[in-house]
Amino acid sequence: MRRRALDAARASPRGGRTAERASSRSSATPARARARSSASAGQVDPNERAKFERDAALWWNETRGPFAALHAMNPTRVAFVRDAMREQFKETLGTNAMRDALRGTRVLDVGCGGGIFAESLARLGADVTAIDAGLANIEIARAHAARDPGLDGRLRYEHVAAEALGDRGETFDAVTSLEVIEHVSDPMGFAKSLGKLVRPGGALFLSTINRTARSFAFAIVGAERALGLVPPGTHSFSKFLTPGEVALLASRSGCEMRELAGMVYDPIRNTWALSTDVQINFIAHCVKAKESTKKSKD
Amino acid sequence: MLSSISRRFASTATSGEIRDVVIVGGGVAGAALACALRRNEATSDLQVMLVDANDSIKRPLKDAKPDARCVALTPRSRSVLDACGPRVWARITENGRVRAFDSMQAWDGVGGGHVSYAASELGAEALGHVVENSLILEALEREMETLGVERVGKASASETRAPRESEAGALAEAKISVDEDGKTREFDVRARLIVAADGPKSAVRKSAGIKIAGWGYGQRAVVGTVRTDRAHSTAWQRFLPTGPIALLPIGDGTYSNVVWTTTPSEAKRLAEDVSDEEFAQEVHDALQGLGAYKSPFQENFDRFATLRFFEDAVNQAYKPLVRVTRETVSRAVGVPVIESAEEDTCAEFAPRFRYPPFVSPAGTDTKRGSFPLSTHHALSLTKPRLALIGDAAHVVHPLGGQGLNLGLRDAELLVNAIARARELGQDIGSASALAPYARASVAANVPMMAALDGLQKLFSAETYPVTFARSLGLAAVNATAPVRRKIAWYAMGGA
Repeated sequence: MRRRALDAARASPRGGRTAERASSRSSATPARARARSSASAGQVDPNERAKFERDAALWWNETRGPFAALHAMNPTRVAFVRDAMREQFKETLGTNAMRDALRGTRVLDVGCGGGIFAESLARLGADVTAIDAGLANIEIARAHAARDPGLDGRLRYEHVAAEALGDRGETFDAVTSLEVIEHVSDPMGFAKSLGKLVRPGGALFLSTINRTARSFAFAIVGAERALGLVPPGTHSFSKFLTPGEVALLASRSGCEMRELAGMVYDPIRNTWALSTDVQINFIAHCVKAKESTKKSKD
Repeated sequence: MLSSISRRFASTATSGEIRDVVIVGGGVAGAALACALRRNEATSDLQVMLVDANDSIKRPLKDAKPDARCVALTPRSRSVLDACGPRVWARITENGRVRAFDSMQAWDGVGGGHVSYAASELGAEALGHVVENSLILEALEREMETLGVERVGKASASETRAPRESEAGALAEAKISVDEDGKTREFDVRARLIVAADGPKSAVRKSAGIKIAGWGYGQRAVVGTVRTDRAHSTAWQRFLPTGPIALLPIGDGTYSNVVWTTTPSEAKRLAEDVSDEEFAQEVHDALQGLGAYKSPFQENFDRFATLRFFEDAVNQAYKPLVRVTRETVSRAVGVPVIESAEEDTCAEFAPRFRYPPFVSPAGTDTKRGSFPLSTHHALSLTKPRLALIGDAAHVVHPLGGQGLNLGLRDAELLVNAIARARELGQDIGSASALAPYARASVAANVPMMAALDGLQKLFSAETYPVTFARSLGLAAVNATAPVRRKIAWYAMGGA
């Protein structure tokens, strides 16, 4: 098993080579990736990115293939983010119909992969920018969104790093980075660059897998090796984060964790549900202080 | 009226336009789906097109005799119709053509055992309503008009195409052919979701390559209308070895709808060869156990004394039996007896057997017909951008008129799934969005199909041990209030 220190910084190549990799990708490559690749080129792990790009063409296979589990999980993540945002921004979103719950918000999805989550947010009315470090992912996501005329103008994909976006000075009502942070080599630096992109009073959503005996048994042994729900090598146990660690990362990025929910899988019905059980998958809602308080702990 | 009808034919759709939902088939399931989609808050902004092979339906004349094509609508189905529009039910019932039935009696035509249950046991007013199919459809079509559903009449979807796997997310396409005054106009429409509601021989299902599994019964059902000597509000069902005969009250209760399942040759004779008087006589004999329909083991119902005695004995013994059993068990495990109200309800008096009313001809202007029976189910109910509902998805044995009820249930479940998908920002035609519909529909339909099929098989046996055991079983069920209530609950659509 590959072991990496939690915040081992790695020098990583920038996006230029990625395009070549993607275009030479062979569709015969065995499925190897489940979650999204990370988008912040500063912290992105080149091995991780390559892993996801090989399977980019399979992003939108909902029922089979490496991303089927993510498709099954998506409605649960959307429900959590939707309800948390409705609650947090109730002054502005209170009158929106449920099918339009997020109209009037600007959201950034970091590590969007094929756009599974980003498309859902855009359909709920949000103005979505979605970024990913893998060019192949971005191309697949763009092609898929283009087939639904209803998404026109509500969803922009960019092949850019979170840091670069932060340097432009852009901020968003909400920044989401789901099933991503366990794939980056420098979670601290990554979280900080996300924190910068959240406007004061905005929301940051992070989801990942807990580092527990049960998550090892289910996410590594069960899902990857025994059942083949996700391809072997998708996750490395040492990169999983506990809710406490996520709270700390958020806090150092200027955001306080407000709500935490577990996501549990029902293998019989192939559905996920929110739960108080955060032993395996969990999702966190963090809020950036209204007055941007400077916390320089670098 | 005429101008409004012709306006609805003239869909202005031209090639390449996009609709959110294209429903192929304008029967009750398809029409209810269209209305419910417009009514549901989460789906009301969707653009819905309904493609119907038929012209618009005409309202039955006020004084016309009841049509033979009827359904025993469950309370659950009624709530689906209420979700289609607040005026739908009022329109169906306004001419007094609908009859509520508040009790049900099913009995074994050979062994003599029976089960009766009443809506009052569940605290409900009615077990269901007997309604002519055409009334429901007419009310739904008017509602579609009110709601502005784009209805393309006299049209068919000659070709439907779901996206290939390599272009996930692409819209589906359908080629629509409309008959406009003898000329055929064709146009293509692109859709987020195509719904096949085009009946048991669904062309959409076939073009999607979805196979069905099932079997025929080698039987036909004869439907007709008769008069009864008194107004009644009971659904009567006698199980004969050749199949069940059901008598359902309709209109003011002095008319009744007959659904008689039997062998193909008998069905042909009853539907085509005999006169109205002879048909009514046969129905009368079959229900009363006279003439050719006498039980081989008993001369007539009055002589089922042994069975009635047994039923009464069970009743008398039941309450003490429950108490003794409970006390014994309590003593054995060393806990005090828990007295509960359930004990009293357990020992409710078993409903006595009642004789169905006498039957006479309804008049010369009533029609009879027959149709073959089969049970089948599509091997999958959804594909990306395609959902099957109603008879396109499953055909059931028509015992109790469950086919139309299940179709309405499908419409409800599909609207729920689409509404959920929209509130989660899903593409309404995606596999993930449709999965909850498929799961819920199978969960609702398969037990019903199995139960109807099992009843059919159970009652086709004629040998004495089987029929005796069957009748004892029925008597036991009849004497057990919780079981009766559970059956009534299922019969009411689990509402």
